[in-house]
Amino acid sequence: MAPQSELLRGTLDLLILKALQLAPLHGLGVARRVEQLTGGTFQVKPGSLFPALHRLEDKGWLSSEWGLSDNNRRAKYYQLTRAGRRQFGKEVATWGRVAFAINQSLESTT
Amino acid sequence: MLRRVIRSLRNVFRKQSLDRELDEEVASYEDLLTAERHAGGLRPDAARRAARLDLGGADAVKEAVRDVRAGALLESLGRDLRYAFRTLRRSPGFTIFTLLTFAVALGGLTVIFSFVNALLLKPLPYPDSDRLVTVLETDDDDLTGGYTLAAPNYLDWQKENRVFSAMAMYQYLSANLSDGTEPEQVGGIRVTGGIFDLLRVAPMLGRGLLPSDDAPGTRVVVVSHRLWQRRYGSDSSLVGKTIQFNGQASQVVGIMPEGFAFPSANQQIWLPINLNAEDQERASHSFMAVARLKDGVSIATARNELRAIGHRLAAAYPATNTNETVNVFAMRDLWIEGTENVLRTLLAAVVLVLLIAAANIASLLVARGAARRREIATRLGLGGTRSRIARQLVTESVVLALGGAAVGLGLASLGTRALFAVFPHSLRSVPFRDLSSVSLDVTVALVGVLVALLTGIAAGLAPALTSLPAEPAELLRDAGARSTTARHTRRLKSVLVGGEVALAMLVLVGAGLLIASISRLQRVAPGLDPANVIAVDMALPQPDFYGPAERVNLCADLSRETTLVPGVVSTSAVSHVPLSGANAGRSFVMEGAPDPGPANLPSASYGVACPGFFQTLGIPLLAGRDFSSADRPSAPMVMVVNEALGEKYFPGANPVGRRIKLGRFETDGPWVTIIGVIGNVRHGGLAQPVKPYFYAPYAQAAWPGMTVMIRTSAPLEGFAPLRQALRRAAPGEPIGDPFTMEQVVENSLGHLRFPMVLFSVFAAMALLLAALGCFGIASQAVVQRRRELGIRIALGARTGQIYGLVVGQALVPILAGLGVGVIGALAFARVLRSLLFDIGPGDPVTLLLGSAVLGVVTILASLLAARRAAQVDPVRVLRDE
Repeated sequence: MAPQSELLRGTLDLLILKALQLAPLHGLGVARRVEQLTGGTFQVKPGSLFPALHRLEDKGWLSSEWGLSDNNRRAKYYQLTRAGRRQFGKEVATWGRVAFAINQSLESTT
Repeated sequence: MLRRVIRSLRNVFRKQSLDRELDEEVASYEDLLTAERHAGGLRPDAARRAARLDLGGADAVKEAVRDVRAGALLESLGRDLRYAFRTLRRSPGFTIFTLLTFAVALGGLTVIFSFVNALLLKPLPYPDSDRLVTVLETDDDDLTGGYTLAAPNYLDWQKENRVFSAMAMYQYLSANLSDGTEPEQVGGIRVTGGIFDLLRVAPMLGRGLLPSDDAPGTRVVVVSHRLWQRRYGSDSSLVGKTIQFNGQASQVVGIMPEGFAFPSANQQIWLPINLNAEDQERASHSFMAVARLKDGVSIATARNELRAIGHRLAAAYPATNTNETVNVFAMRDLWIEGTENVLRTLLAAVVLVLLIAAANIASLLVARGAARRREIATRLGLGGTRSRIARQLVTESVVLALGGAAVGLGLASLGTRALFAVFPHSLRSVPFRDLSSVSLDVTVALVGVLVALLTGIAAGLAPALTSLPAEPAELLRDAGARSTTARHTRRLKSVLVGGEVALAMLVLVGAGLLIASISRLQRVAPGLDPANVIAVDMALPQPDFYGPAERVNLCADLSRETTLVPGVVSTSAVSHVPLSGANAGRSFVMEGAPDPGPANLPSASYGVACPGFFQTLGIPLLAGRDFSSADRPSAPMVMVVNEALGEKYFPGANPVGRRIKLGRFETDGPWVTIIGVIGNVRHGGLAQPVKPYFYAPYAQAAWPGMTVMIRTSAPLEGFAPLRQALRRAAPGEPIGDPFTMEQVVENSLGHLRFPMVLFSVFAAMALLLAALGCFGIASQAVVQRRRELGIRIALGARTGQIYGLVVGQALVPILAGLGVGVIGALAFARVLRSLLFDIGPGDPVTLLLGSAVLGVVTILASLLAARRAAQVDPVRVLRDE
């Protein structure tokens, strides 16, 4: 896993929720979507992706069902639940506050 | 929250289908990835390989998911448990050994803790017992103790105090029951009315004793549940019936509930106090008192007030009360000090054993951990996380510990019962409690399980910390013996074994000191010859103590009838069996000596005896003569004194022919002539110093309960002929069960025997565990250095050298442990000090002996392991490599 993974761990949940905003995705799809969303900065390996997906599902923010992929393979698709959408809103707000605070502290000249 | 709980449970129950789904999901991920790579231009097999590489170990991914899944902890616990059971079953020797180690140590701890709980931790078995106090008289300058009180003083305290809501006064007595069936003697007390209300325990049937029962001539009794069951067959119509009691008809008015004990479980009958003329004397100290504090009054307040009253009484009655005052302390503290010491010491010993057991188990687990390094390394390599493996190891030792606890609790309940079988009397005499119900209660069981759990976790963490290598690859490469972690393990084991030896030393020295105390005590000359002497308690109709005998011919009758029985050499009787601790005391004045004043009267313990008593018991007559049948009530009053009384009160003179008077000069009593001097006898017990003592002849100073003493030419076969002879001598009087004078001497060691026996058991356990620990470390050395040993043997090393090599490995921790143990024992033995007799806690012989025994046994254990080393077959070892 990339060295920035430790930093990623806290934000991985947020990125997964974001990745699933538009449509249900299977595991690999989520990983690729996160890569795409972050311009390749975050590469999500299965060792952290699957635990995160199952954790979010246990919390009731994701639901899953088996479906067929573009190339006709069986795959488990994850989608946001209503609770998941609400949680995403909360996490975005929290993230905004954190990011703002960190930026401000980094820009400060004193 | 609720959703998570439901989800957890569902996940646990649907585990199999969840796992299958996870397998599919990961497989599908791999497929998708392969397809992606294939589309990117790789050939199918290359794409598959790249996908697998990317996935980074399917099992690790699945394990990670299982770890976060709701209920993962529960589920992995189940898996760990199953795994633990499987591994433990695979090595039954190890499992049984550790299980038993845990069981024995925990069983011991639980037994001792049951007693600590019952005696020291639990409140007394009366409602609001923290408000109950004991009230005793004490010397003005001694604020710690107390002694029995005089009834007039008690009545004044009761009248004047404003701190107690109720008070009661009592005195021990023996009750002779002679109604219909076999007459017998039972313990009882006479006590003021209202005692059961004060204790807030209601009778099970009938009523308790009322203040109105205190009036002279009231003949009522309350009996214990045990007596009611045993003697009266649980007859519920007993209340209201009349029983023959101390020769008088008394009406049973109540039966106390089961488990009620006051002042101890030995008292089975309670009767009104019926104060007589002697009781009314302010100088006659023979009662105890209890009281209940009023709400909001502290013990200190009560003590201050009672002391003030005591000072007023001392001023008002200088002749009797000078320097006397009152002490008030919590009822539960009465006579508990000795018991507390014993229990505290035993608890310390058993905790040491438990520590040794834990160290032993830890070192076994470390050794096992070392042996399982390959397995652990493999699991790490396959993606097992460190914390998962550690949890697994701890689960295993906790399973062992809890299994041990279960067996241990079983052992403990057997052990408690065994203690009662071995020490029935001392355990029944415990004040205010009926210990026959001591059993493993929930608290004790929980403490046992908790201790097991903590020990298990601690013992499991040690190997978990040492056998988890930094780099699994390193471990797989070299099979363990030569890596740095193996050295680390060995060091930990050495420390554990050294610790075991040191701890075992403490217990061993403790046991040694107690055994030495008892054997020194046994060497103390009792002052009499206890061999072939049989004693039988006999109750006699005798309303007042020290009055003229109602059965004037008792002594002659006893002697005549019993000496007809073959084998009987001589027969006599005495009021207080020597060495039994029973005693009575009187102050006196000496004819021709100046009046010493009421506070400084000479005093001595005394007994009442029949002629021939000294000869029967083998007590030497040093001067003068023994009592004879001529010393009748009408004849001049006589007494025989012991050497100590002569030396103390007639220094340098022959006391024979001198006269003394019991009480004071102005007392209206006869002068008593000293007619003989006998050798000193340890009346209070072997551990007690010799005190001034005198005997009065039965005919002149009778006592209500006499013990018949019979010397036979050889140990007696059956008692029946003697019992019939006693019946003929004193028809209709209760006759007790026979006991031997040797038993009395043995019993006077009783206070030491209880801790000594238990300490010896613990010491044996400690020794065994330490030896096993040493055997373990030496065997491990053999296993780890098998290759080296094989090469050495192949190169011609002699057996002695091989032995030296292996034993040497165990020798360092053994010697270090012995050194530390000696220092620790010096400190630990101080705890024992109050139990020791004639031996210091730092006794060098005991220390030396302890070290020698421990050293020899542990080294022998390692030699046993070394034998296996010497039998190593070099050819096989080298081929195995």
